[in-house]
Amino acid sequence: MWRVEIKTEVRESQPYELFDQFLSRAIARAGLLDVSQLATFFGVDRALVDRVITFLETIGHVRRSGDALTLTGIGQQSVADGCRYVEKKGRQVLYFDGFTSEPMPATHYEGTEWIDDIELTLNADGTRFRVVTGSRSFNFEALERLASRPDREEFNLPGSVSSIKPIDVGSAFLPAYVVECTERLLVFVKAMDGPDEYLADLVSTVLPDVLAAEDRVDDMRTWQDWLRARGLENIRPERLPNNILRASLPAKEYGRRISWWQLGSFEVHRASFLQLWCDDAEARQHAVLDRVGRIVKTRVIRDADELGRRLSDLAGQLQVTTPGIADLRRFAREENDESLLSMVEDLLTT
Amino acid sequence: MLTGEVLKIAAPIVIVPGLKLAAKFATARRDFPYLPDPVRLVNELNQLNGEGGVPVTIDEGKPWIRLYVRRSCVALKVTNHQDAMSVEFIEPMKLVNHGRLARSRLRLTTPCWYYASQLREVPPGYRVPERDIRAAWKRTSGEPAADRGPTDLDRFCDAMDLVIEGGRQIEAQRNPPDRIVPYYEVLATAERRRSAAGVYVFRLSRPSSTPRGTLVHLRRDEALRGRVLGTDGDRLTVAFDDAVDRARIPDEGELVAGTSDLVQRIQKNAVARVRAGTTLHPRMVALLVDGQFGDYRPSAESPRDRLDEFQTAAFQHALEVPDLLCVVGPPGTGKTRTIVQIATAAAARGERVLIASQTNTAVDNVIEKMPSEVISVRVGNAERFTESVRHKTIASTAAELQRQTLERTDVSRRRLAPWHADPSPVTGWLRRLDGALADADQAETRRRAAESARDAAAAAIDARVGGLARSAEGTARRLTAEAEKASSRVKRIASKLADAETRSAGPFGVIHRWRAGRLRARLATEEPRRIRADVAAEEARSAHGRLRDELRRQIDDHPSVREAAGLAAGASSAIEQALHVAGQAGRELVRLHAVVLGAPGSPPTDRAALGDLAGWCRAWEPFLRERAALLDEWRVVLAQPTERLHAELIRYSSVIGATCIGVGVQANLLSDLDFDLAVIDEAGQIPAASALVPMTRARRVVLVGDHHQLPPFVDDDVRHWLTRKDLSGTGVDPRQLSDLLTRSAFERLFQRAPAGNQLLLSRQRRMPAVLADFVSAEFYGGRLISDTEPRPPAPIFRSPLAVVDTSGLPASERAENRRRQTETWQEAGCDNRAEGRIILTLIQQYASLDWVVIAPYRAQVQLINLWATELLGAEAVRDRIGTVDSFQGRERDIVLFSFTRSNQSGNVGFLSELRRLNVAITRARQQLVLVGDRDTLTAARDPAFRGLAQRMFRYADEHGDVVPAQRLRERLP
Repeated sequence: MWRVEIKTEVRESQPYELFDQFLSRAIARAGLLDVSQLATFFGVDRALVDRVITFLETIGHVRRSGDALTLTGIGQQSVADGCRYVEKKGRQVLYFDGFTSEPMPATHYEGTEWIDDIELTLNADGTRFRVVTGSRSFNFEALERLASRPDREEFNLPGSVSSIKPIDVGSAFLPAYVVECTERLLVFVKAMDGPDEYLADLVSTVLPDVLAAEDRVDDMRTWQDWLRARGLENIRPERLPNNILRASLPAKEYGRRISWWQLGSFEVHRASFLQLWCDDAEARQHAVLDRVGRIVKTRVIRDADELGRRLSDLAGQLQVTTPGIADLRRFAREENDESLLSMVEDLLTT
Repeated sequence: MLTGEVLKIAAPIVIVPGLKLAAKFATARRDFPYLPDPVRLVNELNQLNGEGGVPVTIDEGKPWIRLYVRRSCVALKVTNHQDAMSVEFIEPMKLVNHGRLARSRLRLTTPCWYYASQLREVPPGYRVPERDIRAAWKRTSGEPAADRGPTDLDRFCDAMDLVIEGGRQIEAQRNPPDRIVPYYEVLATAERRRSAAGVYVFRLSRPSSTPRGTLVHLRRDEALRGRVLGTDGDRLTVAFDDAVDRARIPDEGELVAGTSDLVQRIQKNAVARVRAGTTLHPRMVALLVDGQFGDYRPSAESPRDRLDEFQTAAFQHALEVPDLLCVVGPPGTGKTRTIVQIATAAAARGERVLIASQTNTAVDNVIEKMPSEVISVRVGNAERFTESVRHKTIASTAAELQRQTLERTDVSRRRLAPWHADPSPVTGWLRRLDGALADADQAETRRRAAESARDAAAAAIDARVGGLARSAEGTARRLTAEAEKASSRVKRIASKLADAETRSAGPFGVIHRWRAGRLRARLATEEPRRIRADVAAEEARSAHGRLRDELRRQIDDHPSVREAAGLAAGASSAIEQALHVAGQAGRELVRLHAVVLGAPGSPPTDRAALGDLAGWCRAWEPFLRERAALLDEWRVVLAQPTERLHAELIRYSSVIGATCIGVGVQANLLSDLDFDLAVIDEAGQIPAASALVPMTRARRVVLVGDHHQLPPFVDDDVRHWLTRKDLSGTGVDPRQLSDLLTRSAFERLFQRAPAGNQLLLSRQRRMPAVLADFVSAEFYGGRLISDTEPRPPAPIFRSPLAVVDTSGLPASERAENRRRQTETWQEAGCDNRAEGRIILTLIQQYASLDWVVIAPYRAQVQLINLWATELLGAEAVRDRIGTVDSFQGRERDIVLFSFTRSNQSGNVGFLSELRRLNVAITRARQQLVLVGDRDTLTAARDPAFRGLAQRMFRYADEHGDVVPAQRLRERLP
């Protein structure tokens, strides 16, 4: 993506003080049009009036021409509206895609994780991404086009700012997971729940070429090696009818070589992924409770309803009957997890 | 791809297929049919050419250069003759190519990319600048400037942060107050108010020695902070920084003394500005850290008041210096006077000037002397200002402005009242003028109509009965014409006759005589005819006159004519009446307007001028109505005490005085202000961290100070603090820290400043020349010139420089006494009873004069203070006995200095800071008396002090009055 720093101007309204308002009004409506007249009229020293006029000049409200004073447009508007408008110069960063220089939607500005370094490594877990980019340089007309769009707020450019000028252009990398499906690409980013349609559209013009040009990975072999490295050489991944690879591990392996929270999750390795599974429904039920317990502890769940929904969603994913909150409390007790127990109690009383 | 360099190649580039391209391309095309053939490739290159250039990468050690088009990457090799580029291979954009592209910071543009199917088709003269491309790649592909570790700026700022903490701890050691002060009652006070800030008395649970000026805050509400105004047993008076809601102060609770970190926060904010590079002067950081000054030429402007040549030089440099000027001002050289002139001239240029210093007194001295026409205000805690600038506080300035404004606008208000009254007399008069003018216009219309009617009726009568008169008129005219003809005939004949008679005597006289006869005959005929014609004409005219008069009588007497004439006369009278009313209204309007706008001319009387007046009044009416309303509102606002004015007054002031820390205090309303010039007085004593506060807020800075007086923190303090401070892991060099603490920003910058940025005020007018000459030689390189009238020394002594030498007293009598934990850092101090007694003797002699006692040790100060208080009473000794450090910046007629140290081993302790002696000597306006043990002082172990003491005693022997202590009695009256 292009990271474009722009400078902007925005008209801010401030309450008038005393001198600035009275002098502006006198110029606008009372026909007092030079410093001497104003000083005499208001009964203050000429030097003081001169300072006020200089201030009003500085904020663009008054223009001097010899001794004569006139109010500018913003000065007149301020007098009319009874508040002091000030043009403030601001700066902000906008993102445009690296292929067509079209603006990124505002939805992607919140929660998006960016990588500044070309090494493309996520600090959180060390995941390394591969870069996909365009060959054209940033098209500055794209900024002008955006500025004149009536819907520009949908691209994070507030309607109230004006005089938009670019001051710096650089690259930024937006880490995304791309899942190659039989019919289309699904793109997932941190900022969004569910697939990202915007990025999917964007990369669909580029990625098919890229993927077609890459050597195909023997995913079965990849995952056999992965399992072997974890002492699970007897496990052979199976390919489900929907083409997903799944490795069913005995229940005893969970909590030992593999964490409970990994049961049912997808492991990513060398551009392919595999679901870790267990054929034992009781173990999967345990995994649901384990995973929900962890979520409860992060305090992101606000009430019992949400807790019920989480249990239901995870039970669906792990293909077990939905455990109740009583099951979660029993789980906490069995695990001697007092803090989880009290947090669940708290949720029930909320 | 990162934005980077665009390499513009001047000539077009030709592309030819490489030797093995055909085979390779065929294979690649099988798998990736979208790959462009060379012809399409050239099209794509030309397209990118117009969109900012074609991105380039170069594989290390490979002969080709990669270019990236929309869906592919092409490798090009420069041909052997360097006249074209051959296509080696074309690849799809695999991930690895995207990776390469993303790392590229180089693009190529050329006037055009061409395709040639064979090398020999390449036109002569084409060249591909391969070397330039590879050099550009090398330039742009290097690692971007990475973190190169801490810079000088970082190190400076890190050290400053530590220095700020050091300063706080040293200050706390100097003045350790009771930390927690419990109270059980809060009382209102009748304390004199300088502002709306709250002042309350706290009844203490136990007596406290918290000194005046100590910062305190409420333990339960740190925002409620102020300073101790005074203590009286169990009553502690606190002046808060702002207005305080009394309900917020609990009736019982605890005050916390001296632990406010406000000063440190303000200092840290200033350091943060330096660190972030947001100082107002863009090069201030370079100046502070690296000592880089800009070039300039001093102004040729003359000061308003007379200055000496050195002060004038400082003035002229200060007005033009682009960044920073250091002015060394030894005692009595007119620093304040110079600063006032600089600030006045800068203000006259429209600049906003900040006068800052470490102490309130120094700021007050300048603000007090600012000329009245320069708007100058003093901001900060008014309780701490000297009396002479109390009228310059923002609250006082605002109140005075309000009073003055109300007074000045009272007349205008009364004059404008007619435009604000309801009903408005102006509107009334204007309405009356308009009405009268309308009446006049209507009457004029009526008059014209009546006159027309009258003329028409007269014409009708004339037509009807005027025939005889007209006929008579014709006859009269005709007969008159005939009479005139007859008359002229007679005249002609008479003239000819006269001519003939004249010639009848000359040649041809016969003919003329004959002719005259004929003419006489004709005349005789014509003359009776003429007489008859005249009579007939006269009769005809007379008849016509009679008939005409008859006709006029008939017309005038006719009823219709008489009626019309009456109407016309009535209308004329109405016009006159209306214009009279209009004239009266006009006079009133002229009178009302004349007092607010100046006279618009004499009151008009004619219709046109009255109409013009009405138009002029109507045009001004909305403006004057607005003026009346505006002035009324203005006066209503200003009639009430208002703090709304404060921020504005500060903003519009030309000169603002505040302490360095005060500049950063939010409540002082300076936080949004930038200054064109900051003049920082006493800069030699200001810790660098405090000086940074005003320095970071000004475009230009003038530091005025004297680094030969005491620095902000003396070596002893810093050494003590450093021994307690663990610097490991901070990366800060203790020497740098010590340097930043013991040397003021002034001293550091002065030593780096080029000649044009450091000046000395050399002409002193305070001390007697004998004192000044000594300090000039010892501390100012002999550059100090004295310009003082000689004054006789004080009674007892024969020279303004007197030394009372105790070395002749028995050792046991003159010796110092060690006193535990009396000094800063709980260090042991000394007192000296023999010196104390001598000082006491002298105080008694000088009781009615302006005297002070100065000693290097608190212990000695306490001893003399105790004895003097017993002898003279507390009031007589208040503020007259103190340490050297506490007297810096002040001056007195008579200064008595007790060296205190007298021992066998030559220990001089605090005296080894030589600048203490400079401070002590330079306080005296008339008489300096040094009391000390010559043997100890001239044999001091500290070599620098020993040298100074030896020179001083020699100098006193030659130019002063050295009196052995045992013989002092003989001098007394």
